[in-house]
Amino acid sequence: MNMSPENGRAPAVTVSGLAKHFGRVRAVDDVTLTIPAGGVYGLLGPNGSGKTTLLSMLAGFLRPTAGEITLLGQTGPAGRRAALHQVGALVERPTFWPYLSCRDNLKCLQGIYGSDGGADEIDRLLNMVNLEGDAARRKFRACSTGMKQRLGIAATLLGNPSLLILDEPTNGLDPVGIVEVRELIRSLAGPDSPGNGGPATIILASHLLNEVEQVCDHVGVMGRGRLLYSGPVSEMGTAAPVGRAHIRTTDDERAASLLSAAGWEVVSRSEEGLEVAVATGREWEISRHLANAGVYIAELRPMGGSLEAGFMEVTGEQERVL
Amino acid sequence: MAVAAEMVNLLRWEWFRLRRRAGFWVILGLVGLVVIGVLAIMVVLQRAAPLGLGLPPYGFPLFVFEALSRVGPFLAVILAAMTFGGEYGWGTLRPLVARGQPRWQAALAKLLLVSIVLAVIWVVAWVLASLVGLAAGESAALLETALSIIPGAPDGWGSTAAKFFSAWPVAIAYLGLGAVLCTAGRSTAFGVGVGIAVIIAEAIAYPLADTIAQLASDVSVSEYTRWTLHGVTGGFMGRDDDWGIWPFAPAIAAYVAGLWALTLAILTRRDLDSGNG
Repeated sequence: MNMSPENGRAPAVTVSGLAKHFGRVRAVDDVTLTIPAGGVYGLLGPNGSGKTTLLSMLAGFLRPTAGEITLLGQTGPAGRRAALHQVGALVERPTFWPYLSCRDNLKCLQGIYGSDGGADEIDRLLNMVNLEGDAARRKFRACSTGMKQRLGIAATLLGNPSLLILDEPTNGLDPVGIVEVRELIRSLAGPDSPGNGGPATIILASHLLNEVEQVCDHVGVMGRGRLLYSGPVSEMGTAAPVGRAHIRTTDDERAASLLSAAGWEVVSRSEEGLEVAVATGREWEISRHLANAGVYIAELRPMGGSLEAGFMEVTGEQERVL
Repeated sequence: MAVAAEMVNLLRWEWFRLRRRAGFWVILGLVGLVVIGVLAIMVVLQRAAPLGLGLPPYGFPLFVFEALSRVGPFLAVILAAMTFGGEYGWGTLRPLVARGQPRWQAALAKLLLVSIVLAVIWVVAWVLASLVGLAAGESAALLETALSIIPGAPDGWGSTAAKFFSAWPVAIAYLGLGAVLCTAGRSTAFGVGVGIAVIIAEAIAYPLADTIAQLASDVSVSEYTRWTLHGVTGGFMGRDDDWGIWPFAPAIAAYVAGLWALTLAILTRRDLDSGNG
């Protein structure tokens, strides 16, 4: 059994040559991937890149056209079914019985899944996603998009699964909710996670680069059904020598002229400041150049870190090849 | 044993959901109205009948059976659509099998639950009709009942009960039909629409099948038609001969098993989408 180099645990997920075709459309095409146990693995990609299809196959909702999936060390149909007992999945959108209340939906799923947490577990999960009181008694059909999303997250946590598959879990949430869900995800993957057998492994699909950067330890980038990159988030930037920086100065108009004249690309300009393409890790050169010309920096912030640049580099490379 | 325990658990939670659906109770109410309506009409007719021309008590369930044998197929198709079609529309087959529950178990639990619900409806209707019959039937016929309860008696409680409960396997067959249609079409509307169309088409085709069977009988292939064409359609209507559907039980069992197996096979092999919202 392969062990993750980071923590000595077997990989949470291994897929080999995985493919899913819908007629002539290759939604997922020959993906080979290992997701280490523990931590949060981000799955990035533009719309239609195959993220949801890949996650649906991992969760057992879609049948692969080709390839093999090993979940939590279990392979084959029977093994995967057994492993799915330890997998909580929220893929595409939360689906519940509309005529049941939030609480009854969880109660029903808890019973079907054979979780023995009882009413305490349901109360704990509803509190965790801020659906207590009247919200818990509200019929699912009457819930807002954000409430539905929260209930979907709560349902994935029934039975303290070892692997969580979350497909854009912050969709429809307000800014406070987004922050709470991100903190929740980090806590579930942390040392105090209630998951069975140690911290849970979380696969988080998103097209929000800052979300992946804030929450994930590893990242995979998909494009046109193929896996273009997989590795630690911290190393993704090395794929992209050029990133972007947001700057605000004492004189933005003059700063833009100075930077353009010196060869930097000013990508955009607004009342909030300038967005400048700059070599990763060399943002200080902008500051020095402007200061020498008598324009002083009020704010300098790398935009989306190097991940954004890395993502653009990786997906852009595929566009050039294709 | 583990599989049996899982099935019991799934049945429990299927019932948890079904009993919380307003539509389910509306349908049961309508069936109740049909049964009570038939009984009320019979009581009124009984009271108005000249002395000595009234029905014996076991005649009451017989008439209720006639009504249920017509309502049963529609009821079964609608309940199949409620339990199968709804899951497709809402995408709730996903959470049902998300933790590795075999899909065939999820589907079988639905079929078994609706079968049990139909059986309960039949039993309650039979008991109700019998009680009303005992209360409103001729007192002279009450004495007759004690003799006619002997198996094989053509017009007593025994044959009435046999004929009455023959409507249940008929309904189970239509449950299978509704389940196949909803699963194949991934839609409640498709299941109900096509299912009811089939019921109506069968009602039209039955006299035709009867004629064909008669012709077939004339050329000495009656046994074949008895177990096939005539068996399925005529037998399902439960009024083919004095023995009801029982001579056709193997054909009906095979038909039901085929439809149920087809439902499980489709559900097991198909991808599960997240519904329509």
